Amino acid sequence: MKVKVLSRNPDQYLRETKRDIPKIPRNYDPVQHPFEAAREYVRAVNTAKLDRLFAKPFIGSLDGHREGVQTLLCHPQSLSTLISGSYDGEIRLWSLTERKCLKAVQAHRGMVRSLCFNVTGSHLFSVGDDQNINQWNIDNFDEPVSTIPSKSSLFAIDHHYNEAKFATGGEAVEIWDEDRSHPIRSFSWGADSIQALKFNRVETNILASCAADRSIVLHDIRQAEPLRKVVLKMRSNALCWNPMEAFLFTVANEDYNCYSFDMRKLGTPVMVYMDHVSAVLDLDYSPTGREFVTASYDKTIRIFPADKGRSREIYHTKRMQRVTTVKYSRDDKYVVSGSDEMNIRLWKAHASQKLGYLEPRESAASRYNEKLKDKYGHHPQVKRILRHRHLPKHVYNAKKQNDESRFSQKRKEGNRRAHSKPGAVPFVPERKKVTLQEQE
Amino acid sequence: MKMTSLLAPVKLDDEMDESYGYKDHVDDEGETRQKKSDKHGRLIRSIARLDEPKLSQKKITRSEPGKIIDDQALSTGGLRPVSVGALLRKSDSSASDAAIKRKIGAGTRSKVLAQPLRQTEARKAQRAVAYEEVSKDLKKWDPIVKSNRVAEGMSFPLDQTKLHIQTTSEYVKRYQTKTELEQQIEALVGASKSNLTKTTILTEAEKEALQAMSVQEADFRRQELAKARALLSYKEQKQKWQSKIKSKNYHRHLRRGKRKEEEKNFEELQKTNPDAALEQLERLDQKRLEERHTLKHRNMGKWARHTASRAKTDKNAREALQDQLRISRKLTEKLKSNDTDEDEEEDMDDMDEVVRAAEDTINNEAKSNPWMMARAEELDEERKGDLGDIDEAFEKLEAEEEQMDVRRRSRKESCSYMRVRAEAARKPKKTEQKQPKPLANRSRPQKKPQRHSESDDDSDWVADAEGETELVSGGEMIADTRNVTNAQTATPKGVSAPHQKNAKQSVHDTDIDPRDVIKKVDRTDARQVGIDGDGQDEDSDEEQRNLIAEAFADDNVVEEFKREKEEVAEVQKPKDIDLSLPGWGEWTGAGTSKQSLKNKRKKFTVKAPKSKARKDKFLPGVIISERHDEKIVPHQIKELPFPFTTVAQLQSTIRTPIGKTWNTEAAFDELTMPKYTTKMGAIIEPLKAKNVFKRQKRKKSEGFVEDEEISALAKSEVVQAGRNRRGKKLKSEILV
Repeated sequence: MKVKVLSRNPDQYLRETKRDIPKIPRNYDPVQHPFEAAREYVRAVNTAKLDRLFAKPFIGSLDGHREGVQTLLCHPQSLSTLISGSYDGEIRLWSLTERKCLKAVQAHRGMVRSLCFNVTGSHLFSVGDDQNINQWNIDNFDEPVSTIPSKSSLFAIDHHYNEAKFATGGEAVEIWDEDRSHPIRSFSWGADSIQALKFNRVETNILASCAADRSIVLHDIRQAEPLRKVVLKMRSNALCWNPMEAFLFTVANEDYNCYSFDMRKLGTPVMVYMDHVSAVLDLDYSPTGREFVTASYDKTIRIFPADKGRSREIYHTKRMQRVTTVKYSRDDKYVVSGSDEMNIRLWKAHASQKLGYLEPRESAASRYNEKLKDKYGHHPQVKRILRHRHLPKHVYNAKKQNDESRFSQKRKEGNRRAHSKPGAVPFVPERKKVTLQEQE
Repeated sequence: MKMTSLLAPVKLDDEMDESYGYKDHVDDEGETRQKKSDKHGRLIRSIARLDEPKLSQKKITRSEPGKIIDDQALSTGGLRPVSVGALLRKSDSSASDAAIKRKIGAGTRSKVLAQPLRQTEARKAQRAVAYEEVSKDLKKWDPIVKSNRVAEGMSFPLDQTKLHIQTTSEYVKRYQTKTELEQQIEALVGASKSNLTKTTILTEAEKEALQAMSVQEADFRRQELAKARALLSYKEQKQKWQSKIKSKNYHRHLRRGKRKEEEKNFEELQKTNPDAALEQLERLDQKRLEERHTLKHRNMGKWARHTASRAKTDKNAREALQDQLRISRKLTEKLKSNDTDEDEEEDMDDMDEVVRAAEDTINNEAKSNPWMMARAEELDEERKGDLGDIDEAFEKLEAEEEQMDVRRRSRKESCSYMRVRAEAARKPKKTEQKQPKPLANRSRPQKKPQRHSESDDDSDWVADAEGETELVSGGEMIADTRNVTNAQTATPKGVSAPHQKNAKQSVHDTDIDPRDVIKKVDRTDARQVGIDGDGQDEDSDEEQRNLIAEAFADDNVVEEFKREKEEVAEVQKPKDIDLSLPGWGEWTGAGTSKQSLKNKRKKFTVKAPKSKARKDKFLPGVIISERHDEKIVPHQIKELPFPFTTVAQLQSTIRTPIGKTWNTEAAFDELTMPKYTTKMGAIIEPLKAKNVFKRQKRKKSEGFVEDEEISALAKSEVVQAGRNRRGKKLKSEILV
């Protein structure tokens, strides 16, 4: 009996040597492919579905704290090292690769408010509710290297990017030299407590701080006076500079939104980021400056593209409570969050991305899929799948409620505009409503 | 103030003060001597002097320069201070100075300083200035931020260490020559003048050669070489053609020529070297003997029999047979016989016999077969005709031979190759019944045949043809080629200009379409008429027509609408969709029929559903579009998304596929390049001003270097085109 089989001659598709021109067993003439757009559309839909299918962002949690985690800090040189400070004054040193606590120290009486590393990452500075600034050696964590008692309570600390100086925020912004026990400079503008402060990573002498009086103040540590102040409608909880764009910073605000500002034009924010349904407590930029991650009181983490007003991702778990702090890993691949219920969680920055080595064909496929999602992202079917996220009930309801209230406000304004003299109720864009005052 | 006091040596200041003081004193003494008598005045002066600082009082002076200079310690040295007013008085009171004077005068007048700002105000001003400064400084980041935002395919971290790939020359440098032999060889090779280095374009030898020869000389030599090469190639080509000629006639002639030459040689040999001639004769005899022995060239061989069977219909076969016989006759002939003519005749007879034998067999068969009786008779008649034909053919052959002789002679006579057309002219004369070839096929200038057809006079035509001889360089013919355009392109340079013109004319002639001509003529006639006679009348007519058309321009609206509606209906009517694809559901190779293709098309065609009546069928003035497809709606984009400005843009992006299925590997890579990539485990540092601005500077300087390189390369390319590929590449890059 003769069995018919399909067979191919390897000469027609295999190269003799690696350096030969690849043989093309395919006709690229568009006439031969009348359904190319349709086929690609189907591929895009499938990609979108698979994207959702493989979206497993949660990697693991680090437990050990006996109180809520107040602050997190990534090591500037070592990706696997993480420091956390909790409400009970404990500082822990974690190894992310092993998911283990390497060291735990009772650092402060009362809450650990903020942490920062020195330039090389050999020493750690911490401020707590006991009004002390403690300096720790990373390798010998048992005792602080030095303790500087401050006159007033401190809420924030940040280190200069490449000099041996750091700044603390409390009653005033104080600039310290690492080797001195007294601040070398002190900035105050109005009498209120500084909640957060951050040095600019690019223009390293510029510093921004958020105060409890709803203001954001810019400083230049070379100057004797602060630079400028802008007062928002509500208080900003955290602040972060864009590491790739020297003049941009973003604040996490109490009014559920984040605002990006160009420090040269503080009158209106460059971008408003909406999606959270409760106060945003912390935010951190990805080292590429293209995205940032936010932690919110609504028990979720969201990731925003820096150039879009809406988040691209929401992370939550059933047990995660108010997220107090969040950090982007310095290789742009992970997100770490610390929350009220004593856990530190490790997430993937891109939920469905494969971690680890990719074969060339795998990476080509993933690149192709990404492009397909871009290309067909506007088509309703693809968009629907890509945007679909499961929300916790409280977030879902709160979102609905917020939308409703926003809508009703709009409607009311519209009505007022319709029933008053033309021009009496001017149309004010959402961005302009954010800032109350820019002070010189 | 401080600066000046620092700069000026303090001691000098002191001295000056003292001298001034002394001078003052002397003056005073002189006065007293002059006016001794005036005691009263002295008294008054002395009283007045009481108010002045005493000269004898020791002044506080410093003799050493010091770092700290106390304003208090500087003495005025009893000088009268120079007032600004005095200075102004000294200067010329020109108009340009007036403003300055006024200003200074005003400045001197106000004695009270402005009140300092309140602390809050001062701090505010300080803040504003500082903020402005910082903002200005930040401007330098704008272009970088902008370019980074737009950049495609960025790879983080940005400052990656560059891996260096070792070049071949670097690699080779690691090895050094070791043995003596190697060193010797290297020395030899290095001493050679025809080494090409990377830096220079020409080798030493080439340079020398260039220097040794003048340009004209070099050009001349090059031309000579080219000519020789061309001639060689012509010769080669000619030989190739000749070797490929299949014409038996030609080969027969060739052989005959050879034979004759041999005979001639043989005769000469007989005269010069009788022994050699005898040897040759013996050799020939041997051949003849062998032939007689083997009977090789008789008509009994397989080929001969086969050819004999074909001889009836095929003239060539018959001739071949004849040849064969002739050879055999010659080889087997008795040595005594010398009369070739008789032989030939016998040959003929022999051949006839063979042919007849073959035909007889066929005839006999036909005659024995009652169905072929009629056919046999026909064959008989044919045979008679054939014999006549053969005679004719022989006559022709003779004529050709004559022609050949004539040609050969003429060639010998004229050193410039002339082609005599007389033979060509003879043909129509000989076979007078035959018409000349169709005009279109002739490539000769068309005029003459036309004239010929007009006059219809053969002799005239012949005379004309005979008169025309064409001068051709290199023995090439032009006008004989069939295709006119070919003739034009193939025309060698030697052909005279008028001849070319003539050829062109012929092209025009052949291109003319008679109908077209008539039309053209008509039009021109009409125009002429218009211009000549009734031009005004026509104009007025046209105006009238235009007026009417304008007046009733909208008359056909209803009709038009109807037509439009029908068109829309036709377009929107569902049609059968042919989904068959080439190659799908198809067998290839032998034995496949078109029927299967047809079946396939039938199979893959989706029939259009029976269309319902259109909604606007009974609405005369309405077109309702029925394009709306319920099924596609959920897949369609409703609003134009952000980066696009037109629907066409969006459509074009969707239409261009990016997959590997439709693109080559390289295109795929380019199309799917991500906006930015990050590396797992690589720490991404924030931008560093130092690196960024350094990089920009470096880029600029590199660009400059490249430019220089290019210009150098361009120069070198003039000298020697195409040797340096890299230069071209660079150039193209710059162009891009």
